[in-house]
Amino acid sequence: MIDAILRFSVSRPWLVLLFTLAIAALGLWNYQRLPIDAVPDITNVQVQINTEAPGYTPLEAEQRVSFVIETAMSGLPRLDYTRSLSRYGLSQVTVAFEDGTDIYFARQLVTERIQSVKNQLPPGLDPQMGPIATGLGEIFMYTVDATPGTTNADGTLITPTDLRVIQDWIIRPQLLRVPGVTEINTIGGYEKQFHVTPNPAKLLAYDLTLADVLQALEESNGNVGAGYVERNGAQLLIRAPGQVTNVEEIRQVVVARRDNVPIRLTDIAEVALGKELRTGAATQNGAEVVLGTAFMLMGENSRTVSERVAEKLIEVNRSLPDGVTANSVYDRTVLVNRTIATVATNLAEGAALVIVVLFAFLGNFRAALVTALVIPLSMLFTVTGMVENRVSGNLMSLGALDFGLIVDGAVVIVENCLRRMAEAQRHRGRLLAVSERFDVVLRSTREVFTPSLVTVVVVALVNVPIFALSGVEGKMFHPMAFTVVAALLGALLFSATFVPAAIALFVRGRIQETEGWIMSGAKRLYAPTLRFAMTWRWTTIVTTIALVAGSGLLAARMGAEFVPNLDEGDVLLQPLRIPGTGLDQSVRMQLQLEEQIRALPEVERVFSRIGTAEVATDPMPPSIADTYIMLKPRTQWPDPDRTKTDFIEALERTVERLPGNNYEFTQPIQMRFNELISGVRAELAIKVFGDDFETLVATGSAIEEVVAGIPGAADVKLEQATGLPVLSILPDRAALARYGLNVADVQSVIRTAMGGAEAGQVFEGDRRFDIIVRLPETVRTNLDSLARLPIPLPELEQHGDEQLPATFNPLAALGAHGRTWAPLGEVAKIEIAPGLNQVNRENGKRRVVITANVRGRDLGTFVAEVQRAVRERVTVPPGYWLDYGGTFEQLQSATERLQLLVPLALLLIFGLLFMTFGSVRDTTVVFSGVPLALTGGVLALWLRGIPLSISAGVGFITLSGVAVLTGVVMVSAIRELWQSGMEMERAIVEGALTRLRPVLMIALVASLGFLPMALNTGTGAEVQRPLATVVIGGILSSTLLTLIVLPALYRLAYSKTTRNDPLLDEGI
Amino acid sequence: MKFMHWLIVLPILAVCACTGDSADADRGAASEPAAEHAEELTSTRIDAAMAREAGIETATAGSAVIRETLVLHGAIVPDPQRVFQLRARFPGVVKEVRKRIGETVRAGEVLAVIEANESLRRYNIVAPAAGVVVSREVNPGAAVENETLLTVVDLSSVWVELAAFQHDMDRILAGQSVTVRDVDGHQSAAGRIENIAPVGSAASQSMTARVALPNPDGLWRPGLFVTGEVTVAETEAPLAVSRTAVQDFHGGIAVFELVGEKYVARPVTLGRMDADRVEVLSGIEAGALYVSAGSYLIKSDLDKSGVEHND
Repeated sequence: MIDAILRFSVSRPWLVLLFTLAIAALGLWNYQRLPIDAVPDITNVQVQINTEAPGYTPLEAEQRVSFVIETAMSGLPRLDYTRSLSRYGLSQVTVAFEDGTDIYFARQLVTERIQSVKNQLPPGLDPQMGPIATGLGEIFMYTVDATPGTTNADGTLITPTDLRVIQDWIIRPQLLRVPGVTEINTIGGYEKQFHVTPNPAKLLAYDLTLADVLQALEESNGNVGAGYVERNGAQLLIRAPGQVTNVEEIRQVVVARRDNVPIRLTDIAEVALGKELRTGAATQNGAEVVLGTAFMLMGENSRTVSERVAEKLIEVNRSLPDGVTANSVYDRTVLVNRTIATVATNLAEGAALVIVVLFAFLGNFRAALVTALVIPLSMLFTVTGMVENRVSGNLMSLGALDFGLIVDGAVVIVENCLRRMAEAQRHRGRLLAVSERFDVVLRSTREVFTPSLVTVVVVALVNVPIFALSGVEGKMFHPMAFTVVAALLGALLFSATFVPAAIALFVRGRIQETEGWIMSGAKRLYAPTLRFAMTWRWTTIVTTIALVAGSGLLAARMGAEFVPNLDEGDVLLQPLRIPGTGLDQSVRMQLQLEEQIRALPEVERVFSRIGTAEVATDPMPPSIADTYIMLKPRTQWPDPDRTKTDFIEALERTVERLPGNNYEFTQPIQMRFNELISGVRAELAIKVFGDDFETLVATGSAIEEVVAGIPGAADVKLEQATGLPVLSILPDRAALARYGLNVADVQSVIRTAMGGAEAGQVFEGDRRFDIIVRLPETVRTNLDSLARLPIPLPELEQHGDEQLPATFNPLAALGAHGRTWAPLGEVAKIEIAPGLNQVNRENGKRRVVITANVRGRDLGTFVAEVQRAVRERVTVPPGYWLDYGGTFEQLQSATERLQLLVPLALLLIFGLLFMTFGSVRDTTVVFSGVPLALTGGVLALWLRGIPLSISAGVGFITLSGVAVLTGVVMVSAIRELWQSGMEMERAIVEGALTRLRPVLMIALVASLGFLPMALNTGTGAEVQRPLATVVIGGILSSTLLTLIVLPALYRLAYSKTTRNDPLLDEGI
Repeated sequence: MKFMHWLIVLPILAVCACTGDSADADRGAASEPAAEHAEELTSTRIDAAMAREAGIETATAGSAVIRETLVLHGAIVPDPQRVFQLRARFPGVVKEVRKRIGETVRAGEVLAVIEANESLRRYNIVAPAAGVVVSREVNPGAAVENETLLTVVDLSSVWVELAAFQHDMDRILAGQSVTVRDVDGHQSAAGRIENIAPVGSAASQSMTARVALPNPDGLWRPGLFVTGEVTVAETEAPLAVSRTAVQDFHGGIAVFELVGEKYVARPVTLGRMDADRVEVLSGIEAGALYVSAGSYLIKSDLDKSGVEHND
């Protein structure tokens, strides 16, 4: 079949070129459609259900909301797990589905279940599904700012509340319409609310209750449509508007009549625009702002969507009031563009170097160009494959594109063609005729095609273990493996078609036969070295084994990381404050922090969000803030050469001086990543499930103690579930009975008085704002006065009073009041105690988690020991149970799979080589190149101080492919000469010398091609650096060792053979 | 063969095994050094300039007058001894009524003239004391029997009836001083609790504390609501701190003392308190420099090491 393809390619070169052009065009078209992001998306298929429960404490939110919703979700088809989190005012249930479930199908299922339980939820609560976005969906952020001194239309100064109104009613609706945007989330400022704050003393004086106020407001704020009448043939619609439209109208609402005197709201309450009880705030450069975040719809292209949002925002700015602007503060495009620019630079520079190398070695510019063209062609081919298979373009997938390897197959073919053509020219003493040329090309391609084919299959096989990774690792690295295999397949395809066709067509002139000074110099150097190695072959082999063993030991001692961290260019600082820190306190601390950070000369701007945004995609308590520190371009730094690590250290020193904050330093995307994989972040997670939280925490801390005592345990932590100070108002049932009150009477007063109650809305055109009734701030915030909060008593039957001795009561004559009241302190006990910070549930049960990592010990035995110790030393009460999880599970399953798959892959490679050579010895000799190649890779990493990572691992995979390729090229030449009757030692030397050029070319192409990638310092370079380093180091060592050790090894393998046919020797 | 196998497996396994390591390397920086001292950290050093900028202020602990108060609600009523309901002594016909509602009268002033039915002699209804006419039930020509003709109230002094509830009963005593304010806070006056009514109200389970209030300008109008701030105790505490200095700390209560450059948590026991200050029974010495503003920052700084971010 291969022959047929090659023959076709050479005989119909123009057709093949056309076909190549078509594939390239398809690739270009697909490139426009390729979703591009900085990193692969590792989010699972999940639906978040957020229920805002204003005023609910974590416990209430869990009991009343989370439990109901979570229970309703059990038993959904393709359900993976459910998890819930209940915080102050929020219940968040996360329903995770198996990978590959259609998100819209999943949401449909969830919607149905929510509908069915809606009536079991407390009235007024409305569960909402989170945006259809992934963890990487936060692609664009902007702040709404006003230049100082800007005024509203009525001349008052613009407040954060006004900015919030502009965001909610002007900016957000416009941005939501941008294609690819699924949600605009807002944090900061205050939602505009009309506050009616009755004076408690006046309520008493007028004998009114908060409920009366609520009722009066509700009854005085409605529009009514009253049908129509026909008048002289015309239809008149009738409406009776009665809505209040401003503060003054609310003030005039009549609450009651006393002695024919109407009592208006203004008589008993303050009416004004007020501040909501918010759960989050935003700040920028030391001032409060409103911050908007655009979420990208799942599956969209982050670069194009954030570009569109940025464009739209410019347009939106024209519709804003004078002095108010919406400014972009975080734009994913910037990062993606910088990353793509880095990749593009690397590829361009690498390609240029490759062409130079090819030209220098081949001495033929056309041949060099044809070879180099394989690089872009295979890349376009890969892009098509990526688009078809929904693999996004990112650092991981594109960064793995190793064009050294891509071009290697073509190099071998072109080199052989040129050599044969030169030979033929010399033989005939003239230029070749077209048919002769085609013939030579065909034969010489066929000659070396097997090694190319073998290489591709080998690399594909080495990638198999990567395809076996599952979970987060799988999502991260499947694209990488896919891209590598696709690129190689592309390269193979073009090596079989385009390369021979183009060579046959375009390489027509006289082909230089002298190899130029590079090759002759190399040969002069190589020949004696080779002879030396052949003579001292045992020494050579032993030295090599020592080197390999040494590098193996080195690898075992090297540091390791999952993926090298992408330097996103910006810093995300998370100040953590103690649980229970209030939002205002947190904002004050944040403002001071921002002032300090802003003073650093490298910082362009710093902005933060504190607590939870309107849509609770990331429910943070007010004690935590995400502080984005955007840095100036390096050229504007006082010292442009300052490293980022150095800057972060300086930053750390600066912020450490501030009291009351603990810090975590990450980067925007990295933070999201960590949060996404947070469930599996620790190596061992022991989950305690049960009913009563105190028991759970007690059991949890007992386990924590046991685990901490086990050798090898590190970072043992019990999840912080308590510590939020809670003021509890516990009704005294005996006192309630005396007064004839029930608990709800008291609770409703407390809720309205402290938290506020909504009493309708004010419509301003399309905008609508809530009317809230609650006590004035001075009363609400003074806890001493809480005990005096008046609770209205039910009216007693008249004879109750008559039984008392009739006291002289002059007030009776002056018209006294009927209803009585009692202070809250009389009917309830008020206490402040630490309560639950948040309530976590998983799969329908409350749980606490103890996490631990392992240092200097095998994970498996550690887990076994923990399990035994916990079983022996911790009494888990009946009704409570434990579950062991964490990365160790995945690690174990991955290890098991790899233990099976890696040997299997190696066996398959061995089998493949055996099929090629039909000889165990040859196969073994070729195979020996693999560890030799790894040696250099490990050394190069070590020399540059780069830890092992999966990126480096992919480099090793690539290397083994190259090593096999050079080995096959070498061994097949030696064999050919030997079989043709040459004496063995001579055959080895001759063969090695003949193949010196292709081997050196492969090595130089691969290593020089990767040189820019290894040395680049641009954005994203750090992810590609390990790969490039491994390949360069590995190829240098592998080439050196292949050239020197392989012949020696070959000589050793056949040391007892005198016959000229290895096949006969083995009796096959 | 085995060797090569091992060599290939090793890097791949090593790479996979590092999943966990890398993740906690990220967190390690923030949480590791601090984790050990999470519980027992009781002092911290904060740069003076930084503290000033953060709004941390200190004050010296010393003696202070603690004025414990209780706010009660109530209403103005006329002093019952100064309400005069004037009736006709003999049934008759009203001949003259000389005062209208709202007019002030002097003691002994004639308010009305009545012609007795039996004697047909006219007699005067005279104001028993100075006051204001608050009601006038009759006009000339009316025949009256025994009903009230006019009510004169002397408002130069009024009563404030404050509702006191049971759990404050032992703290409220006759003789305590009271600051009376109207609901809008426009005016206030000082008075004393005269007595506490011996009979309580069945409906509200409250008792009435009476305050006599001089009312020379007549601005304290009976019928209106007022609040009364009763000083239930006024004592000189030998050692007191500002209430903003006190924080819940490690299961108890603490005040933070500035010693040199270090802020030290001092567990304290507290005594009486008023709106601003609280008596310290033990825990700090007089003259100690304590954090009077921004104490939450100190608490936060001491406890921060135990804080982690869990979602």
